[in-house]
Amino acid sequence: MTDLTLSESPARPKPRPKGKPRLFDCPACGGSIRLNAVGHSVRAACSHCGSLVDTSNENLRLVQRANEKLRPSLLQLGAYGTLNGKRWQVIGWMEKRDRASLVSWHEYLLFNPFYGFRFLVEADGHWTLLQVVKQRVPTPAGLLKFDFGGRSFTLFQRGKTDVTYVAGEFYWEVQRGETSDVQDFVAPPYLLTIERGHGEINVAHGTYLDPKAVATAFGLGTRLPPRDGVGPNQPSPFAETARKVTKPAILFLAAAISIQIGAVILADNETLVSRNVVMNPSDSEKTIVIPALHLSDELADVIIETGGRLDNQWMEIGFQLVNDQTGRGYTFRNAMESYSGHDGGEYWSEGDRDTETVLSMVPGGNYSLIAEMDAGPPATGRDWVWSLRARRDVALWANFWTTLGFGLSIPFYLGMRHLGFEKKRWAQSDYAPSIYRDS
Amino acid sequence: MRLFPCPACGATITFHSPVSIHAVCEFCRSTVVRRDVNVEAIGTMAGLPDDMSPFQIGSQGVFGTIPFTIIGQAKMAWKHGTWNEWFLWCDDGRRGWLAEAQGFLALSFELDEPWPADVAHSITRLKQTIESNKLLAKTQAALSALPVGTVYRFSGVVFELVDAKFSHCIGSAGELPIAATHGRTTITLDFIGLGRSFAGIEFTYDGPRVFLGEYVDWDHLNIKHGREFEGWT
Repeated sequence: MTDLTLSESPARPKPRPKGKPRLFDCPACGGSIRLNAVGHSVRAACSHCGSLVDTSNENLRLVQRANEKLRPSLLQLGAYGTLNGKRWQVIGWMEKRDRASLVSWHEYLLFNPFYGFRFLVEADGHWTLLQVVKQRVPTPAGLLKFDFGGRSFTLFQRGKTDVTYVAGEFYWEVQRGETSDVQDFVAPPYLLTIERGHGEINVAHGTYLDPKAVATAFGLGTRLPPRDGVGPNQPSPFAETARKVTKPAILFLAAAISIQIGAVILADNETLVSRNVVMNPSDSEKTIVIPALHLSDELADVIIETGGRLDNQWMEIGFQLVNDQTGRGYTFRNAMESYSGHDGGEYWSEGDRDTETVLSMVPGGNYSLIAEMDAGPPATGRDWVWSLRARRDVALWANFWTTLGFGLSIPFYLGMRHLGFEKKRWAQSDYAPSIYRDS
Repeated sequence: MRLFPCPACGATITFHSPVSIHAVCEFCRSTVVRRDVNVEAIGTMAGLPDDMSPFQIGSQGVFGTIPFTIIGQAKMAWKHGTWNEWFLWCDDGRRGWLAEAQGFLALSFELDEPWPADVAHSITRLKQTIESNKLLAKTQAALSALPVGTVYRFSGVVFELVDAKFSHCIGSAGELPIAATHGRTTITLDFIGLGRSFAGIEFTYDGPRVFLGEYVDWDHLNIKHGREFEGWT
């Protein structure tokens, strides 16, 4: 006799016959009960009389006698469905009720012989798929926030929960009427439920499911209950979008700011002319010519700013900027007006005394600026006075502010929608963080 | 590997692992115990109750990078249910256990004596509670003397007691390193640590045994020759 390693002698015994559900007779009514999670299930409710049977051993002891018809459920016992790529069989369901609010919800027990058990919870049309956590979770009572799996969970609700109905089979000793203390913590789309009762602490971690995914998995079609309000762990659609736009928005703003800084640094910021123009009403021509404006060779913006000293008057300056060599040029008008008065004791004013025109990419050369004024109504015995300033290659701010406003508006909009969504979520909780509280 | 003729029916009984001392004859279900160069029949093992476990004797898998083969099964029961303990023959020569309960899988290795100081200290604490309360002679309710949530330290890791129960073996198959006789009183303690770490301690009148390991996923075990099911693939 010699010792050999196993790999040299893989003498495998013949495989066990295929595993399958087990059928037995209900000790109360004699009806047939089908056990799907054989070896796991220790409680099964008879589908004929509703009695609860202890299936942990061969004795099949009656635990709770009942005589009621099986209540229909949205997901049918025995049904199969694929969620997140794994196939599950519905083997049990419970109705639970919060003792304070009397709000009820349904919990379905799902089974897969390879992956064990999951809980599929439906409350007000919101679905969450949960798995029991086999991990130390530091959960002192009275805690409002704690970290788990790298996320910060916030207390959403706590209370006493009663099991008001059970059907199917369970791997623990479920009883109708049993009570447990439940605390729900949320970090949407995740949910952490801590349940205390019968000397046990059970922690389950869940993820919000799109109701459509549940409908598809179990062939519910249009029988899906409508979503009511915002679910405790329903992810905010705005947060998702906001996350997506954050990076592009930051890049966009950074680009706009650096372009503007570059423009400010590189701008020649050269003043071509700056003076006041005085015109008398008796001036027949009301025209002035400013010759010999020299513009450097590179293309650059030229900005012409005018300001009128006006009192319930209007003024319009027609400009021509003409290249002395080529005779080609630009024609534009600057219009100004200023009106004010008292109306029913209220002071009012409108109009703009200052205006400007920006000429883009003006080529270099010698130019003349011709300005022709028109104004009214005439103010007798008083001169028309207006200021003229022409500058070349100036860093412009108006476009920058527009760009900035545009770049910020989308994140701002999403932020406001997100806040609204979170307020709706936390309106159902007694533990809303202050920023989501309406008051 | 050692081969012995079954003392009852003469069929060959294989002991793959040198640490195995207990086996069930595949043909006549006689239970045999190895004594040096001989085996001795000590009774007949009742048929194992069926279950929906995806494992069976002969299934092969990997734990991390270490391949293993399942060579034995002990079906354990307590007041409120049953679970499986699969005995693993690992390619690195270690004896491993794959506990399968309520759909969770915990893979662990027995920690041989001499234990590290913190393990020895924790065991002394537990032993004192068990012996001073004579818990092994009592029933499930008395185990409240070992409250869940109590913290212990094993091999430098903090563990929390999550479950204390009386258990006994109700059936076995293949070969096992312990005599899986019916009705042997055992207090089984389960602990969880941070991450996925797992610890189990068994107390019998023979003394404590310590197992350290972790919770594992079906997908990571990469099981071949697993059990098949009707309606599942």
